[in-house]
Amino acid sequence: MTPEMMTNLKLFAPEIALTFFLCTLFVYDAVLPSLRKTLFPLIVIVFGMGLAIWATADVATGVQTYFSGMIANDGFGNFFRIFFFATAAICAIVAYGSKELETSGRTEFGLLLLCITFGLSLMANATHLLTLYIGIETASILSFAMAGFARHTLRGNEASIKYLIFGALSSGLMIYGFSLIYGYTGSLQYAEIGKYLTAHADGRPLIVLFALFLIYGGIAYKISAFPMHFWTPDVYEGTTSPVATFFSVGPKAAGVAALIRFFLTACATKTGEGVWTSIPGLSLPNAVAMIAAVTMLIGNLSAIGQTNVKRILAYSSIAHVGYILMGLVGMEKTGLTAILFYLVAYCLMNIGAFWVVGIVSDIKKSEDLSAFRGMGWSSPTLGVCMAVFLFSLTGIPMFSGFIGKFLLFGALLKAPGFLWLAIFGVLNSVVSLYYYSKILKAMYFERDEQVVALDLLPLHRAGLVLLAIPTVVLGLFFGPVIEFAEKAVLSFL
Amino acid sequence: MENFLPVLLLLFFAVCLCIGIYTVSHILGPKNPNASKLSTYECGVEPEGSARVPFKTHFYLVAVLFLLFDVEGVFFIPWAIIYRDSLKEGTDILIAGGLYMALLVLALSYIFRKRLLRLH
Repeated sequence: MTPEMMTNLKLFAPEIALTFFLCTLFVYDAVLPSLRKTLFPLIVIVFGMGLAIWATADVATGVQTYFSGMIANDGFGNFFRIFFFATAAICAIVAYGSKELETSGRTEFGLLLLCITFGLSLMANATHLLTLYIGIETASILSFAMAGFARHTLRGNEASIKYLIFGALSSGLMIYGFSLIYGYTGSLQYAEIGKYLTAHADGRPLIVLFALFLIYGGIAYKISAFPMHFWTPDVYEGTTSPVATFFSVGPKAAGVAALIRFFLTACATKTGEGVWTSIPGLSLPNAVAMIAAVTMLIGNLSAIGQTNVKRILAYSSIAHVGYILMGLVGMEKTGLTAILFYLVAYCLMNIGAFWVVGIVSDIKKSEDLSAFRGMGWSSPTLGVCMAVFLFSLTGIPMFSGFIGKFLLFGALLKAPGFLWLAIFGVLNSVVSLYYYSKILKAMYFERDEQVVALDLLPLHRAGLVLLAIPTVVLGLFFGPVIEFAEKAVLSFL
Repeated sequence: MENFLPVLLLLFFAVCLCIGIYTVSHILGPKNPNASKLSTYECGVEPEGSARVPFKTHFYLVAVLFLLFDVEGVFFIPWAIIYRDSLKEGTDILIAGGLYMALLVLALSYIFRKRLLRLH
């Protein structure tokens, strides 16, 4: 074994561990079908994710690229690896506790989940456009299958087809952008593209801007930013709740990581420790600011008139992407640290909110606002946890969502000339309070005809509380996470 | 731009040819339809039943599995080309190829075990 090959394998160890557990699930599903209905797949997934997280911590050595410059190993990438593995484990627990997931399909769900996590990890660590494409396609195609997991329902099929058509369109546009960039710069590696674009900054043909816009379109589809956000409400509403839980957190974070990596390496130059400046002629801050503003506006305004809670949360996730993109405007480490912290907080509160919707939908067989009537009184745990998650999503002080937004606005104000975006973001947060409160109003201020005390499974109770506690704690004791995020950003390739 | 003129000319000529043949046969052809001439062609046999039967989606699965294993075969070819010379430097190439094949045999055994290729 050449030393280079040994390094490659050593640095790829978390994904190799992931693949090993994936194969275990494969073998298990084919060889021991009788055990399929037990919790064995869940144990495999959670154990596998724990091992993968440990393997990630183990490879956290120098900043380098491996597999001949196709994948990066740096603090930023490892942060996201840990994020994806933890999210996959939590979403597996949410899925296995849900009644919407048929017990006979559990192993296959676990297979899909693990494979999508592999794709997400490739996306976030890619330094070559082809690796990015492989990651996006792995995640997307398996997401089409996961979106239609409840394949005997009409809604599931509809959600899957809508996601498929949109995904195919975006992938096609994105790879067209890749080919144009390759034609212009002669390379598909982010660093080489950046060098070429900086060196030939004068007389750049318009086709380069067009190509970058197409590549942005492909990634925007994954994070449901404008203009590729149209699939989000329909798909989130049509799939089962555990699947919507995973979609709203995992691919979004991966897309944000890929966006940051590509646009800061290929379309900007690093001019200091954690500071980037855009290449003359490619004004990244203005473009990102515009997109963030429109995305926020669309998400918040469209959520106002909805009556289906999953659609409300879907539009809210679009709005949150708008907030996250605000952190990229300054192109320096405070903004990126804010994005990373916000993603952690967002993961906790969004998984919690979708889990509550899943529980209510299992009990009441409906996801409308009317199904939430009186839930706060029938089940105090559910009510309080949902209140915590929704207040955190709004950005009310003392919760982690507020700290996240505060950091994002702070980072935005450091960049000169974007005060309008900060004010716009604050106004949008105020608008979002309306539709989050609609859910809380139904839970606490409206009564159901028959008041029935609900029995939540101990799993649900424990899980929701375990998600709600960090949401509050991170709002008060946020230092360690911010330091960790800052270290990760400073070790960006 | 001058390099593309012949291509444009060829495209224009092809389109004109098609339109011309259609138009000429439409003008010059006799028009005497009868029931037998207008019926659907089914290789000389009398067509029976409706043409709109539910399409078995299983065919798609078979096609996708074929595609996957075909691409696997394609990736085997470069490995096979450099195999003999790389063996001189040690067993790395054997392990790499073996691992690749093992993963795909695992997938194949999953397919066989779950009876995914049975159309009935």
